[in-house]
Amino acid sequence: MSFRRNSKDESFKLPLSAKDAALASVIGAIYVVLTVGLAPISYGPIQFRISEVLTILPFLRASTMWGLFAGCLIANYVGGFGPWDIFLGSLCTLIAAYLTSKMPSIWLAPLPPVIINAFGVSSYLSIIFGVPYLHTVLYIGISETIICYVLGLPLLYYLKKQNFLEEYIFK
Amino acid sequence: MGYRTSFIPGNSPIHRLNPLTKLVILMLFIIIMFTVEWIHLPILLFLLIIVLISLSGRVFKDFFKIILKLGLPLILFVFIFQIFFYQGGEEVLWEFSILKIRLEAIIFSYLLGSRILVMISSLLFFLLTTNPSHIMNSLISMGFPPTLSFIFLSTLNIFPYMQSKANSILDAQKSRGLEVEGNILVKIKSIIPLIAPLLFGSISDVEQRALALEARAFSTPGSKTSILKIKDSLLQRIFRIIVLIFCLLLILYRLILYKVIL
Repeated sequence: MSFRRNSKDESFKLPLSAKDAALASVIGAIYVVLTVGLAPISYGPIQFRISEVLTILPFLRASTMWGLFAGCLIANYVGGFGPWDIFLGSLCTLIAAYLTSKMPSIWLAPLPPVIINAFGVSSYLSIIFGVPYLHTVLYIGISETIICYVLGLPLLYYLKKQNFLEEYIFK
Repeated sequence: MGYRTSFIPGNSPIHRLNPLTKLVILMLFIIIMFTVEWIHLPILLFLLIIVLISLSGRVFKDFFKIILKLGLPLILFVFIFQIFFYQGGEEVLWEFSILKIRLEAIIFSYLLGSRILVMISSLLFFLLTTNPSHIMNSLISMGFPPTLSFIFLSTLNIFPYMQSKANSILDAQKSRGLEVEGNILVKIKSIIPLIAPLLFGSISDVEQRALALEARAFSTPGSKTSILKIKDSLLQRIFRIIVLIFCLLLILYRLILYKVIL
């Protein structure tokens, strides 16, 4: 089953509504908890960032992308890999989340984080740490694919089936 | 608990500084740390932060407790992990099957660990001595979208609460027989039973926060007049400009040094 999005999702436009802002900050906090709590595997060229599973949420509600942006910013800040990682990493997450919210089908939803993080994050990591670019693309690509597709897709399917956000928050 | 993780009121000279000044100092720390290539620099900056903290009234005890309880485990983890997995350098000092420790890995881990220490403590210094509403006000006066600054601040604010929630969910699931120790496959399978309750459990939080926001006219259009007037002095403004120029020069210095430009 490939769900299509029913309507145009404009919820990410600033200024956010109170419910969207509350949701975004909660998502951001969960992102930080999962990244920092599962350190050190959440950082570095070889990373397995479980919190990336939350990047499927913008498919359900576009406003969560701001929460992911804030969460990624704070998580990368704590991670201590540098200003590049802080800003560029969260920018990658923001762009990927925005694209996810625009994806037409549920199968494509986890794709933007995989591609943008694999190629984007590797580009500045390879410049700063000298790790070979294509190797890092492969490592990050594989870990993101596992997290976003193997873990994220079932989660997304489950949440969509439950009508998670519509039922409980945006009634 | 025993320690406060957010703003601690006080009347020290640090408390009386404008939030933007403290933010600029924060930025200065980070930029110095990443543009100057001296291995002992982060530790020195950390000592400087401790000096600043001791000038901030009764903040020191909480600061120390947080660093010990939350900061140190993270730093230790990263240190140990990166010692084994850092890919640079040739000389292997110690081997055990596939695990190798190289000299460069130890240096890198020390640098990374001390950098994380400075990052955490500088952010903590900023957050413990500054009122969140003051931060938000200053940012908004600089043109930052208010909804976004709210998201940043409340993410930082909810984080300790979310952490304890995640821990209790972990304990609850473990007591129901969820396997979390073991190989990576076990860990992967245990993720959804941990994340789903976290998400569903946060629903009431979202509702409550949304209500609180709406009760404070969060979504009314137009700029809000604030009863809060944050003090800012000419001295601080000059200081900020000088520090910003200094940061720019440092970045230029580093870029030139690495032949990115010129």
